[in-house]
Amino acid sequence: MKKAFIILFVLVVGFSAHAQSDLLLYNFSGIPQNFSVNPASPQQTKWYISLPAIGGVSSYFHNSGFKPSDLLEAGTDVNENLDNIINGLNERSQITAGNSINLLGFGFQTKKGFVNFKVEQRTDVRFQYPIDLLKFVQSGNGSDDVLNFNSFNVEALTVTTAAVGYQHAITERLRVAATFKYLIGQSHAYTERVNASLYSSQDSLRADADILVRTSGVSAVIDDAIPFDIPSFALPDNSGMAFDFGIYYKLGKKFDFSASVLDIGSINWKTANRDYEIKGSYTFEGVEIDLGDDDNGSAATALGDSLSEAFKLNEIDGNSYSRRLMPRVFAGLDWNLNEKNTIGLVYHTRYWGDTWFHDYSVNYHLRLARMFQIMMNYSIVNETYDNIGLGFDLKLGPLQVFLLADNLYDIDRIAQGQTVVPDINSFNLHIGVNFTFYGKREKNKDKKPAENPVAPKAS
Amino acid sequence: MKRFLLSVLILGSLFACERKEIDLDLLDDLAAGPELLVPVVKAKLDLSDFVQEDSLFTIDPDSGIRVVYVEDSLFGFSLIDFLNIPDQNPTSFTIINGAPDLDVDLGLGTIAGAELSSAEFDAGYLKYTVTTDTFVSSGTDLKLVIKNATIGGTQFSNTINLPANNLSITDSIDLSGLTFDFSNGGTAVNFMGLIVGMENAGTAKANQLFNLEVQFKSLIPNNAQGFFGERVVNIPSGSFQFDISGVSEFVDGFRLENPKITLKTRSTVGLGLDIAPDFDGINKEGTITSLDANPLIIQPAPAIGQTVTSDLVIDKSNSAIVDFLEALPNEMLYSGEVTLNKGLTTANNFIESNSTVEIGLEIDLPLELSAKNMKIEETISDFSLDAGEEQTDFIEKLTLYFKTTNGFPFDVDVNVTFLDTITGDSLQGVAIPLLIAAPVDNVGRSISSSVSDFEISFTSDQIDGLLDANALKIEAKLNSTDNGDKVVKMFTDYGLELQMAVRTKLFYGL
Repeated sequence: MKKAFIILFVLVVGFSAHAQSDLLLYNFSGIPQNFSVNPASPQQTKWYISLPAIGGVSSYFHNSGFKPSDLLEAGTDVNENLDNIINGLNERSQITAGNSINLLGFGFQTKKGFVNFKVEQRTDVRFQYPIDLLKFVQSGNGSDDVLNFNSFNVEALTVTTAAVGYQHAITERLRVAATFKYLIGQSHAYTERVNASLYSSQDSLRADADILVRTSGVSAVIDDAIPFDIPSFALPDNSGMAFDFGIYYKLGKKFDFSASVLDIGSINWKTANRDYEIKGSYTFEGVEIDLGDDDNGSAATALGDSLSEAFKLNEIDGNSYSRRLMPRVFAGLDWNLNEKNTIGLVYHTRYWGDTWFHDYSVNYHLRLARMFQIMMNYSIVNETYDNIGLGFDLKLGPLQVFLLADNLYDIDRIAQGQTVVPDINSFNLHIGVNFTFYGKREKNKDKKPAENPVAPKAS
Repeated sequence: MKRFLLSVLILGSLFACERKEIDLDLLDDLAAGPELLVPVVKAKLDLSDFVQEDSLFTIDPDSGIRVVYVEDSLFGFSLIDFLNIPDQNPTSFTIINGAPDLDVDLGLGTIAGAELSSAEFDAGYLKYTVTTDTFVSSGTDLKLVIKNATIGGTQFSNTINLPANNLSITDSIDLSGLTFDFSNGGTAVNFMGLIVGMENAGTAKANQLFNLEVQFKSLIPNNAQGFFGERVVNIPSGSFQFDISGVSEFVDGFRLENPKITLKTRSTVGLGLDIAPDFDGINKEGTITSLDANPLIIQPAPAIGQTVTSDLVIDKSNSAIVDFLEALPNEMLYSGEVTLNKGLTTANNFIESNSTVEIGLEIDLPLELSAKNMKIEETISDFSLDAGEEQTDFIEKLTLYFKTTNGFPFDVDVNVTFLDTITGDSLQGVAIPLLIAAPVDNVGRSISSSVSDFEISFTSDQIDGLLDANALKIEAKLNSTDNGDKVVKMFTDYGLELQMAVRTKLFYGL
């Protein structure tokens, strides 16, 4: 058990080697990757190209349930800590992880807007804590008549996205944008429904289960039937589409408001689909013994057989299904203190498993030069309160190098070669290189603060 | 300056948060402490399932249950046990050559005043000795006739030869098949009439004396009639296992109200028998208890070739059978004696070669009983809740819940003792008032079920004892309704249901 725990811990933390800082990225308009969170965000480059792989790699990990020190802080009672962690979990407690890699991206300014195109491969895993199950393991069933195990959702997908977006300046103050995404899903699994409960009394235990897990592409791996030709492997017949919408509005000279709605769409999963279903109910009133029968030795075996029969795992192949993406909404407000300094607020929410998850961030954006800007933020991510982010971009000729990361508390010790367990809830990293062309610098003769110093003026 | 402040701000943000030391060794202390509520057992007993009518159980028309134990042939007697003709005393005759034959009446010697009127013998012989004082050169023949005996329908007559030049001879005559009419035509008993004399004197001198001595020996009757006398025959001793399932498990306090032992006799002997069986029971403790049954009478068969059967009942009116069974014997010893013609001086007894008296046994135990602190004991010697060295005290709380519906007219109280067989110590225990007796009507039949719902919470000492025990001694104590004062009857429609659940708070390392 202990070893399994450590392995799980390492795996979970291992995800954090990759990251994505969407809250940081939202207002970081210096790089075109910013389009992915707000397609209406003004860009200072006139055109850009993101090459495969180096054009952007991102990963993220977030565990809202606990961080290592919550459980293993030296000098504390680990069991008391475990109780506190489990008791602190709620329906929004989850582990999410994922990564994406840019396969190709480019964009260019038009007379009244900006066109961008990108192809990326993305993997996301979302895991909602099975709170009731953990509480059952922690506390048993002795104090609750009814235990519901419904608060458990898992979803994982790998998808290739080809997106084309257009941003249009309606007025000098207002920009709107939309992105169309064509999606090809490689694999997917999610819990369509998890309805399980345990009713406990002195007379009986009754377990009900109605669980359906739908998968696509997974059965090919299990059955060792993965197609060897790359088109069949990389481009299975799981397609879908989605839209991103964005708006950017300048509120006078000092403030900018922006918002976006992302991933409004779905994927139809058709290839190598397999459903796993458990549907049953079983009431256990104790090992049934007939005192008039000399042979009651098979009672336990019969119990096992009854349980197996009641909760038989059914595998059903071939059921296609449609699954919507996880929609997200951003809203941001920037306060431009002067030409170089901006303070921003970002709100982000996402919807998954019938639950809205909310994030809040405040950021400081320093534009030291057109070729170098820094942003740092503090975020409340899904009820975790210690998320510090830092990002920069540096333009070296046509090359634009960028890095955005969160929660680098232990980077100094890691740099010293120490083996440390990162004590974090979240860790995000977004790194890449673009080829960008800003064009000639516009002179600002009166030295007044620009309305939006880095955004291209709408002509 | 601004850049300096900026750097301070950034680095401060990154590293200002207090670092908490992570101690991975804490994983060794991880433990789980769930409180579990689990129904453990749902047991039922329908007496109709348990008691199937077979060689042991008999179900009455009113569904009452009785235990019937049968030994078809416990012991028996045959002709040889009832009629024994002793070797007769030798009788001498002096025969004078030239004198008339001697006509001599003898009486059959018998045992215990037996007076036979007739008999046929399968075996036996007549030993004789002839002596004289002068050699006879030609040899001499004497005759011996039994007037009231025949062989093959012909009167018994035999010639005894004294060979030439011999002064004596001893020999014998086979009497197999000899039939005696001891009544001498209905006028006497045990009568034997002999005629002896000279058959062929040869060259014997006139008036030469010949002495003839005869003796009947080893007479084995084939059949006989008459009065066989009053005497005592021992019952062949023996034993049998009295192993009645279930009953043998009880230790004490089991009292059947109307038990009955029936001796099933079958006789083809025209002979009245007074039987005094002596039954002793030995229980598991080796205690011997006597049945103390009164003597019983086996009637004679009415006529030759007919059989008379008798059921001789031993019950609480003529024995100590209630106390006898209360001692819970699991082995029965039997012996005793049978008296022939007890108190009689005359009777028309008869017996044939194939006549027998066979005695079987039927123990009939209607399950009509009272139980007062009736005990059943069982020891589970391989008990262990050992969960490994690291999990020594993994039970923090333990409560047992019981729900019972009892149609049996018995209270059942269970005492479980936790034992350490190595030290011999008794490590605590727990008392469980498991069943409440069902109420009964005036004939002892349950009229409704008793329902109980209770819980037993273990103290910490009891939990420690349970965890440390390597054996459990379970002692169940039964009392019939009204604390053992009511006599209750068992019927096949009795049943019980028992549910047990456990609530336990565990604490074990992961």
